[in-house]
Amino acid sequence: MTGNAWKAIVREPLLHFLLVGGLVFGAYSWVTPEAQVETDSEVILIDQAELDHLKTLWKAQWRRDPNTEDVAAIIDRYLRQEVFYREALRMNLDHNDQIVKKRLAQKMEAVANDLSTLMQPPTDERLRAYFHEREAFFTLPQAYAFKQLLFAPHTSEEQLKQTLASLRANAEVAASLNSSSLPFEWELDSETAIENAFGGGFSKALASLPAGEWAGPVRSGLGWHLVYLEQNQPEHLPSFESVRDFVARQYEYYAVLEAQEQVFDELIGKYEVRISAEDVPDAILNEFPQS
Amino acid sequence: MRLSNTARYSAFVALASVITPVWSASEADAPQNPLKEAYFGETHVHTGVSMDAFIAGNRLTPDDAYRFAKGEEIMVNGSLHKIKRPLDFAAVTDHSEFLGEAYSLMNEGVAGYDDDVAVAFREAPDLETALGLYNKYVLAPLAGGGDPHPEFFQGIEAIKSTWKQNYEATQKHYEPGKFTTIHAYEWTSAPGGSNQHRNILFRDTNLPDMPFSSSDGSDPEQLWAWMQTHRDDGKKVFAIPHNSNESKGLLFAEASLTGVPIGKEYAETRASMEPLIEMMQVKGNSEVVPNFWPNDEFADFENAVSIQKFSGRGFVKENFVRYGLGRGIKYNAEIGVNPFKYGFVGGTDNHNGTPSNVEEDNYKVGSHGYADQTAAVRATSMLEGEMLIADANPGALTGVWATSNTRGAIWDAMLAKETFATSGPRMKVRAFAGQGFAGSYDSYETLVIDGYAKGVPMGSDYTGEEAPQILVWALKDPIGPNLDRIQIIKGWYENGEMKDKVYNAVASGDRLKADGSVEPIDAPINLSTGEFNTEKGDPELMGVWTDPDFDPAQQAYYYVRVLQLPTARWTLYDELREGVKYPDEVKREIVERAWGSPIWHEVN
Repeated sequence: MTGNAWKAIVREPLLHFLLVGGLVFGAYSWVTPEAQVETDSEVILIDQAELDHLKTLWKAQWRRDPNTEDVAAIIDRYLRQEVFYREALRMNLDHNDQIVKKRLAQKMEAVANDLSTLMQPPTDERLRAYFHEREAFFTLPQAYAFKQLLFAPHTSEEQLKQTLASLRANAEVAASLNSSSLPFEWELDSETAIENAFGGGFSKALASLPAGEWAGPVRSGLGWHLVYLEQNQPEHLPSFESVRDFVARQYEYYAVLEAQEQVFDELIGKYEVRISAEDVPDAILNEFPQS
Repeated sequence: MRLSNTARYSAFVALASVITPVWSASEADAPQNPLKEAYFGETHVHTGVSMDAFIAGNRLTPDDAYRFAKGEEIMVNGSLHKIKRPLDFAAVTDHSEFLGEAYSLMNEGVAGYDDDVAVAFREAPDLETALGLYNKYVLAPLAGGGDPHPEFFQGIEAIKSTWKQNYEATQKHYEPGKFTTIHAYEWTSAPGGSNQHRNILFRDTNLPDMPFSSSDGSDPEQLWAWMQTHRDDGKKVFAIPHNSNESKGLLFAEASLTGVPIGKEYAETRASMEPLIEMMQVKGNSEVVPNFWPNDEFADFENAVSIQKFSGRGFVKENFVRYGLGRGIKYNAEIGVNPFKYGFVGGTDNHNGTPSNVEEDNYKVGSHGYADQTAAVRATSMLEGEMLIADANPGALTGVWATSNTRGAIWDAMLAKETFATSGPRMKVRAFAGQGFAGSYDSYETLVIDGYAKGVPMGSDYTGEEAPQILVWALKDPIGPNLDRIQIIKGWYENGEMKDKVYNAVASGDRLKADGSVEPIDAPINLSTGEFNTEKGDPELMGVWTDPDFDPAQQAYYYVRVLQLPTARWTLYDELREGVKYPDEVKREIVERAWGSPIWHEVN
């Protein structure tokens, strides 16, 4: 193995972990006295730890404590399974059995995913890096807060102009002007949410309105609006601290999705894939180049 | 993994909640609207906990479904997906029949998890394999044949465990004033292939240990008896039947399922247990079909006619909601009780765990797992045992007029039937029947105040002696097209015959003529882009309609139907976006609509 390959392995935290894990398992079998390695003996030991574990599993399923009869059934089932399981292992019935293979592969996949997640716990440092790698995602969109009055689509331009002038001249908005079923006050919300509530390109038009005075008219899917823009909050990246919990949730959700592919990619690197069969699609041959 | 830009809006929604928790902590603190607000939501959706959905590839949990309902982006059926607008409320309604199986299927390491059949369900690699399993282990038992449970089923405690898990997710996501979750499930009985399914909705957290399934009893009367024992025990619960279009005429029948002619006791029980019916969902609109209502020019809408090719479910007039409303009036005349006094809701019956995924231009991942996952499959395939996929639709939506966005207010408004269904868009519709309404109002607020002061709202009884005036109001979906018209459908029973008539109450522009007819609105969609006409129609319609044919001695129902301008159907978006081709007879353009719950004229 070349020096570069070693470096690559040293840099590969997952492989590291698997390697260490393997050593620990090996060491455990080595230091544990022969008689206690159950699979190598004729002893089936149910110690307190084992029984407690079985009871916990049972409880998780039935959501109550097992009674004496249940415990008898638990032990009976355990013994039956253990006897047949050990005999099957002796006869190598596990080798090349499709179901066993699939189950073990699944288990390994789950273990590897867990390990991978363990290797990358959501520490502040990691979350901060994740946050900055995806700034576009965590950027808060353009948002507005405003008051509005809705007028029917056929309202004349002249009438809208007059209403606007009177709104600017008077401190209070006459209640009679607010005649629609739409709320008058709109708290700070994203451009997209506002567009979904008004339609017709309304939220885009807000961009050009002055803040702090009545303006318009602005067209929406519902009609004409006179708008008092209270706040125009441009698109911006919030501070990491203010959104840490959200970043953590996103990290956990997408990290699991990403880990599954990453683990496979890393592990298959340990193997040389030789495909000597014919009729194999080119896509596969290209993905796993043959030496 | 690359995140789409569209994910950013849901990021904002979630972020906003992190930065400033805007909702109140308790029901008492939720904002109140004395004049009521229309809350939009889902009353019928399945997650991976429903075994048929699980076999078809769904691994989403109720927790995921509620997150989707709140506008978050979720991995659905192999791709990231979200709805444009969050919902106000949602009820996850997993099938009660296989809740125990779900425990073994979805919780690694528990008993039954490694059973061969469970493994086969989990690993069904494609549609064909999944269908084989679905037929054997789901369809057959639901139709009353074969063993109700596969061998890996672990018994009652497993059912309780799943029910508890669904309960926990439903509790976790309830944010009074902001987002309401409702404890619910589906009772899935289809004796002899007749769809008798009901969704069961509970008002609060006073719930049974486990739901009643069709294995416990496949006759609705058994379900109602079970519900009654829980009502006697202080629980609040009602049932919503759906897919009357697949009921082989047995939902609005002449006799009970056991063959006993419908009598007073049955009618009273049914009316009490079932305030609402699901008007429309993925598997079709059950209002009317053109064959039996040739005079209703808008009857041809999402009728899912290919249902008739499967399970012997040929359409009969008795399958449809308008027939049911009429038969209810007739029963009232015959036995003094109306068993079919139904208000309206709309649902999806979506099996992807994605509540109200109803947007025609956003129907990218289908609604039934592998069966309609891609445009290529949708253009050519069928939904096993049900219909052609090209005949299905993304599903319908429920609107509820409630005083606050809380469980109590929404459930109570549903029980009072102050509801409407839409075929997907967020139109709003209100109606009041009474006397002395004004022809126009200065404001929406004064209209609503007058409506309650001088009349009764949708879902109620009108008991006046004079011909009822019906005050109607409708507002378009802000991101949809304008409205075409408001219609009122009246039904009554006369000389031994059930009759109904469609009246045009209000039309946009000056199109409503003196004879009651309306000049058709010529506003076709753009077939090469899917865009709708933005010039014609009105965003808001209101008016007062007085029954010109009123007979004070005659029982009648009146319900409102609002039509919007034509829009593109999901099939056209599939063609434009994915390059697939649907058969010529498949519709590309539809007139979406809303149905307001009826008001009944009760003769005193």
